[in-house]
Amino acid sequence: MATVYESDVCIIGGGISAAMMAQKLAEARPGIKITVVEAGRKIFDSENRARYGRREQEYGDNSWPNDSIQDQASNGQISRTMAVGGQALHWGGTCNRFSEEDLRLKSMYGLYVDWPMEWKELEKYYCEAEHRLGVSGEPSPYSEDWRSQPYPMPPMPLTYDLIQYKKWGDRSGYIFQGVPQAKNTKPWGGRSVCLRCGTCDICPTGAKYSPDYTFKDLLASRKLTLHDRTLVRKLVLDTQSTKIVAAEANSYERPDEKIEYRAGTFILASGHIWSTHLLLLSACSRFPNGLANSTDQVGRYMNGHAIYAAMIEFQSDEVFPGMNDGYSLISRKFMRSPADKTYMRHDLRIFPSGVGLPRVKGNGGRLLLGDELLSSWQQKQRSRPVARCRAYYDIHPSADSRLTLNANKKNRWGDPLPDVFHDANAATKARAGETKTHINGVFAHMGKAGDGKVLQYIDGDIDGNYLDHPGGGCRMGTDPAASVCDSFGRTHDHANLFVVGAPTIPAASVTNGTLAFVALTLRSADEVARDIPHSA
Amino acid sequence: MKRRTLFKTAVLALLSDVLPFARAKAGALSQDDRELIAAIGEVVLPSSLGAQGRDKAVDAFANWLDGYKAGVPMSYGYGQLKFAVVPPSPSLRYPSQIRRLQQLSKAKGSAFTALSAADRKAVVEAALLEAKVTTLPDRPDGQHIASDLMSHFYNSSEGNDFLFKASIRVSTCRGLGTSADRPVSIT
Repeated sequence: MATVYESDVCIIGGGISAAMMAQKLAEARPGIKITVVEAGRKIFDSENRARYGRREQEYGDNSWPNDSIQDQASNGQISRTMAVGGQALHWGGTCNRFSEEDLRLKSMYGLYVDWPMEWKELEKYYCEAEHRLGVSGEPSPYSEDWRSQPYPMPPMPLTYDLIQYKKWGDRSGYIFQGVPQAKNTKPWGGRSVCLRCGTCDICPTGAKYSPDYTFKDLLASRKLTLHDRTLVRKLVLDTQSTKIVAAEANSYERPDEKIEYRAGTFILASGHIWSTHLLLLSACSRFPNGLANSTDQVGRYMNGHAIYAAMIEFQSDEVFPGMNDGYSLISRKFMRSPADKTYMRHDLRIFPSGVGLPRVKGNGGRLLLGDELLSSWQQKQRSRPVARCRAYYDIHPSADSRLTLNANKKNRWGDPLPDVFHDANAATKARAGETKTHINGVFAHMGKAGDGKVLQYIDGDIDGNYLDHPGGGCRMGTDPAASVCDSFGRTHDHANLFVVGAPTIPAASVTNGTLAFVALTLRSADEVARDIPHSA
Repeated sequence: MKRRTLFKTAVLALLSDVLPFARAKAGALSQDDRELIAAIGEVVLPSSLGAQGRDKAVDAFANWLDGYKAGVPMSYGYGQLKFAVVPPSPSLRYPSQIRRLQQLSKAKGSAFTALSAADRKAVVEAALLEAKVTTLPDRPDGQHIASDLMSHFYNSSEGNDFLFKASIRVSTCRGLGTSADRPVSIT
């Protein structure tokens, strides 16, 4: 016999999308019963975060203790975090928006696919996402980046250091600004102002948004039930219809006990890997390839953006590394591609360089100690500062960019674990060389504009199977033959099963994706709220 | 270093070789250990730091060693999927290095701490060459106690301020109000 829990909505996964979905549903439909089930554990001890952050700085200890599960991992994933809060526990809080071009690749450039929604519609939810997370930022100088509402908070002030980098960046003609961030520049959401502690991986003051704050608030006001350390392993189909009736799970505390969650609506909010994985694991006689997979689309079009970076030296006034290491600059100049040229889009970032430790070995192999070591470092440092610059360029996935089940790699309950293999479509591959040549040119121009030069190029090519800010696997679309869900995340095959956030994006744009995942989730929440029967 | 401390540390070092993560923490440093580190500091840290600054750097390094916890999970970034734990304390490798420093000192006619600064510097240089130290690690890693002391200092908030002659205060919550200001100069 299984232990049974019943609710109106069962949210599977406990990351930022789950937090936003639960918060919005609790507001839109007060009184409904919401259960969130998360495989990882709660790490709610905010009183210890200053200490955790210091130990990470000094010793390299993990600042989020026990935030992953060793036998629940995937080949091809980029982060092993599995805890209440998900990958947004570790995030830097960067909240860049995509641009309209991402949603109109087919109609504007004849490439890949269009998203099944208008930019104007998504923009509305971007504003809501910025408000709920608490984003500080300044409007983009490019008119195409119009916004219907101002940022909820003024931008984080640039440090003296970043001001020097910006002066240099602007000399190139590419206008730079501080990245928008989910960090408070005024009290927001019951959390304090950023104190510039320099340990943004774990914010000791709560100034950086973290989903655990939302969960704590909802739990305190009894608006949801949270079951952590519980892995949902299978969704169960109704015998008479295509509705989902239950989610079967096991607890890490009591691994032999069967748990069953029954609900009117099920929402997969476990990120692009584990949401997709659960659908494939839930194969049954009527859906032998997995749930929501009647057209064999689940697990396809896994996506992300590739990295191209450079170390660039430039002439500048003195710089002072360490003033606010979690902050950087962005130019959105190249987020649009002229229609009459080869398609080419990327963002452009400047990160302050690190200190660069003194070198012990001097010229001729002689060891340098004490004053000689310091003098050698000062001479080197007096030359020119070095910036780390990076461009994310978009990779449009092929249908074979896939998540599949690996029968040879299983978790403690014998479930096959996922493998992710990234593959770009033919058009992306064809223009890859030209894309890199273009970005090389941008970096070289920046070096020249700063009376300096590029010291090193760093190519994070897709061949390494690493793409940043990944998504996909349950692509949204209007055609069930080419997608898994509609623009709200409702699966084409099951009316009461939604997938939200990262898994639904057709492609990952050319900049950080978290804000887009949240915006999409908030849009899905409106549909879910409309969908729940008022008798619930 | 007291013999008992040395023996204890040597046994731990041996254990660490056999069972790399068997021990979470090396023993606390003795007063003799601290004096020896201070004597190393006098020749590897810059004189402009001053005696007080050097003492602070040595104390901070010793405290860092005392607070070391081997075997706890390490921080990870995107793309780092393998579980890694904090390696054994670098201090487990110091006893043999200290013995070698004393051997080299003996050839100059005295214990290390009793040598002149110039002789101590020569001894440390010879020991670092033997240990094949060419760069400073991002964190003390046990390759040599002298390079670990330098690494710890230059990677610290105080070391960063010293290098840039400015009050940057990396490890302090500084507020946003002074972000745009040039850090105050330190003379």
